[in-house]
Amino acid sequence: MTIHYSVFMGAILAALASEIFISPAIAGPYVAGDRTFPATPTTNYPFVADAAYGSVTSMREGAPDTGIRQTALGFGVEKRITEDLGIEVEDAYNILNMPARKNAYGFGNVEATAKYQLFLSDEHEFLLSAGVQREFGGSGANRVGAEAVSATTPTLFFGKGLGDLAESVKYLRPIAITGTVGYQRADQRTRTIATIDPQSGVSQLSIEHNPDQLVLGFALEYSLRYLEGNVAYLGLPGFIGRLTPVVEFAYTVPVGTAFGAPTTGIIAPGFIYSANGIDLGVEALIPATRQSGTNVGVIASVHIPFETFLPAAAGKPLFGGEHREGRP
Amino acid sequence: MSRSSKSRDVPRATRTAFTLLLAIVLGAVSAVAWAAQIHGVSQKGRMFQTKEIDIAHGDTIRFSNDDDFLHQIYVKSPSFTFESDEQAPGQSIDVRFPQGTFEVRCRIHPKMLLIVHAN
Repeated sequence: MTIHYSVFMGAILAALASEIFISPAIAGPYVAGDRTFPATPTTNYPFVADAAYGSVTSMREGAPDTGIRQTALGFGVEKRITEDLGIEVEDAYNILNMPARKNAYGFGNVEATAKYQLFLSDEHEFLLSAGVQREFGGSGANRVGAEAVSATTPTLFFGKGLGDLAESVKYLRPIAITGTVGYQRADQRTRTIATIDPQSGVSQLSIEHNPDQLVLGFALEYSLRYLEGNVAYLGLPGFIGRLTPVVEFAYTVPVGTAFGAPTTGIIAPGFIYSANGIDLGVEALIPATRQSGTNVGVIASVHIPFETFLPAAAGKPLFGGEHREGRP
Repeated sequence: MSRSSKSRDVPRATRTAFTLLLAIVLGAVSAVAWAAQIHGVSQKGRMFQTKEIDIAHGDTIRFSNDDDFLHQIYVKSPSFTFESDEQAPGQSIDVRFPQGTFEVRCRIHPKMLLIVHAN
C-alpha cells in the first residue's frame, strides 16, 4: 500500500508542479463556462473561493431511548492565495446527548486543505482540482470522538456540467456532477493505548487500527436557475427558480489491510437555494450501509462569499489578481 | 394692536422667503431631473449588447431583457451596490448610477459584464 500511496502522491505533486495542465482560459471561482457550481453541503466542491461557511448536522445512533444524538456545528473559511490556489481551514463543535450519561461537548479535530485548480474548460463546463487535506489528530476533544492520530488525504476534485449536450436532450443540460476521490492515510496505522479499568484498577492494553481509506464523494445536481437562464424560461416562482435539487453520496472504503473496518456511507438528498451569491443547503442524511447507522439525520449549511459582508478586496486572491471574465 | 400687527408681518415675510426658496429648489430639482437621461442597454443572447457605456452621473440605464431566458443584474462596489430580482423575458429594470465606474454583472450568466462610466 505504501507504494500505491507514493505513486498517488507523486502524481498529485507532479500535476501541481506542471504548468501544462493549466488552461489559458481562467475563470473565477464557482464558474466553468455558463455553469455556476453551488457549494454542496456534504461533499467538497472543485473550486477555490474566498468565503466562510457553516453547517449544522444532527444524527442519532441507536434506539430513540438509548441511542446517542450527535449535533455538530461546523464552520470554516477558505481563501485564495492566487487565482487557482486556495486554502481551507475548518472545525466543528460537537454535542453528544447520551441518555443516562452526562452529555459530552467539544471541538473536533482541525482540518486544513490546500487545493489547486488544475484545469478548466469553459466550453465543456469542466473543472479539475487537486489538493491535500490534513486532519490534525489530537487537536480536538477525545470525549466527542476526535481521533488522536493525524491523517493526510491527497484528493482529486472535479466538476462537470452537462451544458454541452445536444439540443435534443437540452433538458438534461442543467445537470452537473461534482466529486472527490481521496486516499486517506493515518500517520499511525496501529496505535497501542494503555488504559486503567476504574473498577479493578488493572491496566489494560488495547490496539487501535487506522487503515488506509478511499474517501469518495459525489454530488448530482439539477440547477433550475441554469434551466431558466440557459435552456428554457418556464416562469417558475422566484424561490423555486433559485433551487438546485441535489443528491450527494459520501463513502469511506478501507483499502489494504482493513483490520475489519467496514465501508461506511451516506446518501444525502436535498436542495441548495442560491441567492445573491449565498448558497443555503438542506439535506437528509441517509445511512448507505448497515455499519453507517440506522437513523436518518439532517444537515443544513450556508456558504457566504467574503465580498458579501467584507470589502470587495477580501473576495480577491492575495496575489496575482484576477483574469476572469465573470463570476456569479 | 400695533404689536400684534407687527407680529403678523414677520411671518408673512418669512412665508414669502420660504416660497421663493421652495421655488428655487424645485426649479433646481426639475432642471436636474430634466437633464438626467435614460440610456437603454439590451440583454440578448445571454450577453449585454454593449460592453461599455459612458453616462453622466445621475443618469439611468434601462436594462431590457430581450432574451428568451431569465436574467438578473447586480453591481457591487464600495460606493454603490445594486441587486435585482430575477428578470423575466420582456421585463426592464431601471438603475440610476452615481459618479464612478461600475461593473454590472448577472448572477445567472457569469460571463455577462457591462462597464459603466458615470462621469
